[in-house]
Amino acid sequence: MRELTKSMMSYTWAMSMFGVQQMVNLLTPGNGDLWGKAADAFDNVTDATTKTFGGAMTETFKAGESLQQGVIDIIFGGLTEGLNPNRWIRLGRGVAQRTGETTLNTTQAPSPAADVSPGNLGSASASGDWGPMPR
Amino acid sequence: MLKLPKSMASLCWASFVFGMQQFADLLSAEGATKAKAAAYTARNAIQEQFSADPVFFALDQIGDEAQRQTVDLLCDSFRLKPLNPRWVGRTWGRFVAGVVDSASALTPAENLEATWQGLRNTLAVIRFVNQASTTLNLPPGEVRLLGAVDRAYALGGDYAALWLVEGLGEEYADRNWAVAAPVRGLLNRGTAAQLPEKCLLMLHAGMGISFARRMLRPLTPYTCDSEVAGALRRFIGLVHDNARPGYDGPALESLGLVTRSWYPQMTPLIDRHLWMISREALEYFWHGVGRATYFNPRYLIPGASAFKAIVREAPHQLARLNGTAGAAWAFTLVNIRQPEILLNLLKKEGTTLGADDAFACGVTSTVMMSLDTLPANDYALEFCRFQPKSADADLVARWDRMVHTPCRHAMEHYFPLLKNRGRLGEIFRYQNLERLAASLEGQH
Repeated sequence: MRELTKSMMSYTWAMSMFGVQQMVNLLTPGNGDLWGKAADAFDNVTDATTKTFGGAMTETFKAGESLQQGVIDIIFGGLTEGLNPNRWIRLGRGVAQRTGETTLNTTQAPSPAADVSPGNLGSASASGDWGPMPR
Repeated sequence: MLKLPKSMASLCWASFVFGMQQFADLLSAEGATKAKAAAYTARNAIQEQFSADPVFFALDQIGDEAQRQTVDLLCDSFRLKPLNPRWVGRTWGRFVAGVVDSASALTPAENLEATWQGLRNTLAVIRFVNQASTTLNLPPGEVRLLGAVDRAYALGGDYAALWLVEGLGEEYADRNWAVAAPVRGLLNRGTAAQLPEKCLLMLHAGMGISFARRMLRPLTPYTCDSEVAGALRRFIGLVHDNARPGYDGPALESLGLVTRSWYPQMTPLIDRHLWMISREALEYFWHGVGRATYFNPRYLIPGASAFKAIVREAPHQLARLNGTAGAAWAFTLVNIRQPEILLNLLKKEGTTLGADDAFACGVTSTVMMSLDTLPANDYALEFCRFQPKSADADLVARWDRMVHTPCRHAMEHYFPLLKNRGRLGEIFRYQNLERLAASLEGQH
């Protein structure tokens, strides 16, 4: 229990320091693409964190990520292009579609132990088992 | 423009899901181990972002240690240990010893000056190491090693060249790394075979850093034994396949440096496995651990001693001797231009450091390495000639016994012998040099 507490606190501390580091880097004038470098650093940590997820959590992460990426598109798109109704409708439809697709994948995702390669899904349908599409 | 907010949002969401995953793991069988391994992996990924930023690396290390000690203290309190007089005595003893060490590092003025100058030298070396890649500014693609070595010596001048060459070795190995097949012949074939001898020790050390990081990155303290043993065997195999004969020592030593600097929780596990795999690699490993301990931010705080930390953490005598020699190696190399700093160390810790010959072994290693790597300057010669102007006869005698006489023997006898026999890599571990010299002469 003691070691687990230390591990979790260690992670929390490192994450806090990482946030401060990125803020300092962004506020410090320097050469090169500071925003791009900061984004890469965030992506590296995200990748390493998501690699520790199991099957269900990976799908949960993907579903949430699709949703929030779409929301960011809407917010920043709204800020840059103003209140263009066509754009709002297009973006809203895009977010709904992406989230729906990810959620569908999540609910139909086989167990982590199963092979999810396209070839295997096809053979499952051919043998009469549950497949990706109802017949 | 949108990439950064999206990346930030992704990480926030990933951290939240990570918390849920940890909670779910804790509810399952053997979930605590899985949760600890996941936290370790995620933490290391964050720590890698600090590797080029010494300030944040230091803050992270010091803060992490502080929170670990706080957790220990709280857990002990919950178990009512403060009611045990022995626990109270031990805890207060450690605290008071720390305060006394800090006070003696800062007073009188002579000690303060040595502490301040030593700290400045260490921070300068840390800066050289972190900026090696930027300073060398290697063009993308294949590294032209001969030209790059000349450039490192031209840019680094008479001292920083050491660290630039180490950085070059790491970059060279990184760029030649192939996922599909094990890399071979990096420093013992082709144009690398024509490299000048002066750059070989530090180039091998840099190559070892690259290999060690790649081998250790996927491991956790909870990885199964066969996987850890496999990774260590691969590391040793890579070093043998790529190092020049007689120069595998500095490359093997880098395993200890990388482990102690970036994966300290792996140290006991690697120690246990190397006992069974290779005793020689274990000696180099602990020498590297000693070197890394000296550069650890926790021991840069005035009064905190890397030498005492090694004695505290070493699980056996081989570790203690090699660790002490490694820390002495780093201390001497960093402060070789100001022997007074080493004299001050002997004044404070000379009694314990003089209990065996590990410290003297580390000092002579540095002198021999400097003679080999920086042949154009006289730092090593001047260091060996230094005679303390102190009224303290004990201190003068200690300097003579632990520094002056061993260095003279090294310059006059061991260095030419080891160099002629192509065995300079041996200086990256603790050993009785007199015995080694006798054995080499006997073989001849």
